[in-house]
Amino acid sequence: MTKNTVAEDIAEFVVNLKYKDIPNRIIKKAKDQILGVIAAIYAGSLTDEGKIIINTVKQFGDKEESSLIPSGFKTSVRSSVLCNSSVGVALDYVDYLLSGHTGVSAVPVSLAVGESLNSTGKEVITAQIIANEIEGRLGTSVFLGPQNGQLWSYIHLIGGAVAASRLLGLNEDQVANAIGIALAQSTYTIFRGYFAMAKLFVSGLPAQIGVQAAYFAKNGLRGAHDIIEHPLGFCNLMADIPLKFITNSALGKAWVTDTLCYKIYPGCAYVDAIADCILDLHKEFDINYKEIKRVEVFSSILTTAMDDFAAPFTTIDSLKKEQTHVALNFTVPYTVAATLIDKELTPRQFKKERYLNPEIHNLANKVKIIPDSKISSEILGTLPAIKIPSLKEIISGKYSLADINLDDVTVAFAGAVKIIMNNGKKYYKKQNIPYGAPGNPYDLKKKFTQEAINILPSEKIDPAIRAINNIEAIENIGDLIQKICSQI
Amino acid sequence: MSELFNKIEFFCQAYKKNSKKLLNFKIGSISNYYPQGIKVNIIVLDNKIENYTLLISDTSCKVVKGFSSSQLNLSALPDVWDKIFSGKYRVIKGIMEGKIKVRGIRSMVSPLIILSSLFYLYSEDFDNND
Repeated sequence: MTKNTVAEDIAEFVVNLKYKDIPNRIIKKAKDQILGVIAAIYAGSLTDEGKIIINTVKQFGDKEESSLIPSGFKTSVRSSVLCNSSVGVALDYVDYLLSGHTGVSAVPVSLAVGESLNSTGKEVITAQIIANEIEGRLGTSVFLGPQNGQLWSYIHLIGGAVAASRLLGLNEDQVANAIGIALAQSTYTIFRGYFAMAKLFVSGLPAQIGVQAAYFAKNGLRGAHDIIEHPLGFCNLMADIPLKFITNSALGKAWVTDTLCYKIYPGCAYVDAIADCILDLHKEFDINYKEIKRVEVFSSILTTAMDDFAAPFTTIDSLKKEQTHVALNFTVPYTVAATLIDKELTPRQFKKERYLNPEIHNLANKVKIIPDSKISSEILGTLPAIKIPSLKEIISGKYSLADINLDDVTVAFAGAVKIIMNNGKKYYKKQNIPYGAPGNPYDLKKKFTQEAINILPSEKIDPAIRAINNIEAIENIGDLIQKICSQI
Repeated sequence: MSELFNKIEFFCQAYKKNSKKLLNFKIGSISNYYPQGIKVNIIVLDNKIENYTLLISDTSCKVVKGFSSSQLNLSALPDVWDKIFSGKYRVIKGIMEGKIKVRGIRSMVSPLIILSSLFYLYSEDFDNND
């Protein structure tokens, strides 16, 4: 008997996973993921960039199959996926897990395809969890490579393909074909393009391609089943040290959805703990930002690198030229300064009137990032903390995700802030685990409510939250879409 | 030897002193990723072109004058290198701002991130901050 390819193993999981076999804690995490992603779409829809994408998609004049969130405007499945995912990522306000920012495709794809098919809530959340599991494994397989985090746009190709395949009811051969079709034209994010408005397409375009791949596979188009592990396949071409075995490791036994980290602020994951520190200090002390002499931010070497990639595009001149806040989501000094002055870090800090404000940039110039060996070790040591023994053993393929207690993971994306005042007084705070990450729980209803207030009539907010938290009882996902959209 | 050579030497000593502290996690050893270590040519663009070769492995770091065969060649003006090895500027930022040129960058992004971080981390003794 021929051994399955990786895509065939994944296809087996996609077709055969039953809702009742998904642990309750994973269902709960997925519901929180919906709350977080819809909140991010609400916020993104109010950005200048988000509005351009929404208006353009409306002009396409597509067949009416699925809704744009939050307007409820009907368009095609693929345009709904493109728009909702792109708008969702606008403020870098969406979750991530081991390894990748999966929610921003897993949720919009499952809702859009499900709406067009009148799927049940159980079918939709199962497809969403499948997308998380497969995207997360694909991201981990290229962890040791030139790109990281959101730059792994190609995970949304496979996420779109598997979630749509599941909802369309494809058989195993067809699902493997969908994966082969989706990954055949793998997207590779160009660093420079990432710091412009076009960054918003980092998830939506690949997710759309992935969804279309499922429809083509349904109608008989074939793709390479060994596209992931072939010598000239996805893993070898995308990673420096490919961890191919992770892509189909312990499917249905280990759940990477367990590692979901929810963002409660707009911005890269590396700024979360730093923002926590400042806001906690604000609660405790009355800090007059006008009297700040300097701010020292202690972070990992990865935070420093992230900041360096974005830095040239975060000056006022550059921001005026690019006309977007996008690069600011990756910069520590602006994040720190805006949070210190405004005493909050919300979508408001990324509006034009704030990001072109010289006072914030003047304070940002007083912020110094100091790489910290201990924090770097803690972050880079996250994998050993979840009992992965060594890189050599990982590469050897002897290792399985089932050997890891993923439900016991804490994410040590630590950061510390020291504020030095003109009078010599110092304020210091360290946050080991950001709020919203495993090990430091956060109530996602708060984030949903904070952003829904700007979109939904107030009387619709609680029913929308209840509908998401009871998604398994929904007979037709269109009923939930109605509750989260403003004009239906 | 030039002032820059001395600064790179300082970096090497600091790296050797601290490398175990930073790399004291199972996944982080440079040799796991680069069995031969990371070899980089530091090219100083000046009236007279000055080159150094830096070789970094798990616990050792060596700089020699001259150009060696390496896939990783970084070129910049003297003041840029001076700021980098004074902990005042970083390689990635220099690349993004066009002040550091890298040949064949497509396959070099990972080692560049590592080098950029290490140069910054060990060109000043940041860990002595209270």
